[in-house]
Amino acid sequence: MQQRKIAMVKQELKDLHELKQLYQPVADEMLVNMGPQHPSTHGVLNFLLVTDGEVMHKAVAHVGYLHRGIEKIGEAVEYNGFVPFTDRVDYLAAMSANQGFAMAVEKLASIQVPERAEYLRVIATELNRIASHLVANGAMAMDIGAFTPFVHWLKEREFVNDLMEELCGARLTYNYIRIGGVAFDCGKELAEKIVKWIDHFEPMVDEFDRLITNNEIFVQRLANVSPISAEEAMSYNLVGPNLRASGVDWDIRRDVPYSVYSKFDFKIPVGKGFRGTVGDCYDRFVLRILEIRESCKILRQALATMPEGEIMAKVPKTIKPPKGEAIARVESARGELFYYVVSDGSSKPLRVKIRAGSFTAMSIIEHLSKGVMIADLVAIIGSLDVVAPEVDR
Amino acid sequence: MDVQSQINLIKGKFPNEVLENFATGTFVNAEKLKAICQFCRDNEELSMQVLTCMTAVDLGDHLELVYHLISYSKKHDLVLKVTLPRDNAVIDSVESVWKTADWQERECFDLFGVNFKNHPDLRRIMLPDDWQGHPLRKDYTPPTEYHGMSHTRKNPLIPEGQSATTENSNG
Amino acid sequence: MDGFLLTTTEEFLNWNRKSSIWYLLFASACCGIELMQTGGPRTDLDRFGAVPRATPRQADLMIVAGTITYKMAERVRLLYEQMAEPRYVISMGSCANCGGLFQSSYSVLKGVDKVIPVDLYIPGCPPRPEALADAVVKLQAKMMKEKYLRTVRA
Repeated sequence: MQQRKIAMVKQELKDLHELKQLYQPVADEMLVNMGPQHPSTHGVLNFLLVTDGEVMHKAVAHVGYLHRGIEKIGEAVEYNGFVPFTDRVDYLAAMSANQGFAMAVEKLASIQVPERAEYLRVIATELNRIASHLVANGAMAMDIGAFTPFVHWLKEREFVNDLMEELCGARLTYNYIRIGGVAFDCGKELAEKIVKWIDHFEPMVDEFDRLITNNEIFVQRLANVSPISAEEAMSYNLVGPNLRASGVDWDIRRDVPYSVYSKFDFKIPVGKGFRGTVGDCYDRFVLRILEIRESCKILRQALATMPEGEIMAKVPKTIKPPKGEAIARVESARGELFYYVVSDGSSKPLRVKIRAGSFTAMSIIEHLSKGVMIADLVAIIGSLDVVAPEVDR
Repeated sequence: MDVQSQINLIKGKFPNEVLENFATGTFVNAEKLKAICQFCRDNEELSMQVLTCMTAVDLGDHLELVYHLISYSKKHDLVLKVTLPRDNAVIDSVESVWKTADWQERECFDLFGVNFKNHPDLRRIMLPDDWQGHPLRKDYTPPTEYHGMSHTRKNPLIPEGQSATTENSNG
Repeated sequence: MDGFLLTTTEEFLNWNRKSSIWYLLFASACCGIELMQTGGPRTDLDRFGAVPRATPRQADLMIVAGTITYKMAERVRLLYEQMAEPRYVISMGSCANCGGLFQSSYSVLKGVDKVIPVDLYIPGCPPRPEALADAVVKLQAKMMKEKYLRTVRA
């Protein structure tokens, strides 16, 4: 044990020495490690900062601390058995992650999903989107220093967890949207409970606005911090609220319509510099709150017009799609989740590739961090809504 | 614009480099990939502003690199594929065309061992820096231990010497 | 000498220690969200006296929540070494107990007890907040029984 400890410390010093050669801080600069265990990095992310104490000259991101080899596991399990692993790719928006994989396999195997199942998928995904945005904005406010909104938001999220538990039995990693449909049905009492909860929740969003969104100190912390232009956002492949905050009007639910989203009437909010420049941190924060309101609208419409019928198509127990490949795009809370599934005719996939929005969002942080203060780096990471397992898979 | 007209447009500029077509895109020659990507981004009618995903597939005897491109203004997408040999997989980096290729190519290098020329900073991203091998290749075997931590865990429900089956692993 | 004075002082000290367990915020993956949710309003960890601390120097409990990979395992060991004694470790969730559902993965450490000694294991994927609260109560019971002053420390 003692030998191992000495060997590990020696290896750490050697790595640090090599890194110092790589980045070469000069004069009064120092190399600070914002390590994998840190209260304001959202999960296990590591940043190496070259700073003179307050202003950063460079911030290099090191990822891979949560690389679990999910894509390799996809080649070792069958199609149905891979759905719980997609939950763990993005645990805050697990429904969308399930749906992406299910859609890709349904395209490969030409499975037609019944209409009631599509409506249930929309309801589950939008509830999940609300829960995810609550955590994202709450964690961002907590990193800035405001602890109260986070706990308020967690209380609301507990109600969503209760509804999800009644729907499918789990609070966080649902495994609800399966290949061919959904796993459980939603009865009339649960539908009424969801509508009652939305009636209770919509005034709470106004309360949050009064609490934090228009607070002058909060606005000063976030407005005009690291604006991202539209060309940069597209070149770095930002997706979701990050992309729309920079002024690019692109949402998969409207532009590449899937499921039954074309039947609902909802707006897509786009950033326009609400209190500062277009594409700064405040835009990304406000955009998520606007998206929560739009999700409530979609939920009401879906619950009112849901038809009766089957919830699962007739799929064989072991799915063996023909040889080929398929892609699927879903709009999860964090942006576009892109699934690329290649099949070679057997019961296990040949290749599953998941491209998640947080991976590309991490790559832009080095570009944004020149000349920015360390406290603003915390605001940037919070506003980009980075979740560690999406980055590393 | 549908896929066939996009391929015809690329074929007009690069007549010898476009190989076999398929439903959503086309195979191209590995040497000219960077020039074709530059053309796809800068041309007015294609205007592929975004590289959505860049990945590789190990098909047993060769590797296939897959590039998914999309245009937000014209609302169309395209797939470009390149075949590379397994033991000497070298290709030009497209990082100067789309900045997102930086990290996506690092991931491809880390997990498949594809070498990208002219990449600003090609090193491992997901795995520790002293990891041996490229895991997503089909012939990869994981090590038995890493820095003193063993790779497997004894399952107390399975008797010594047997492997897990549905009878003895469900308790 | 195990006198009356020593045992009563020890009981008093143990009661002090168990009533203010400060835990290290170490949220690696999905179990981390349930850890945050347990600190939230419904199942409140604060009523046990447990507040989250950001640095291991000020913590006496480390709740390892989430999957530990090989790259992270060395840092976990360093964090454990930085905690001051008496220190405890709770392994939360099946990924930290034994590798969880990632048994066939090439880069997941199959159980955090390969690098640090663990006091309590909580099964679940992820465990409910009530299970975590129950684990803290069991840890408190363990702390009360500890012969704190009468053990010779290594």
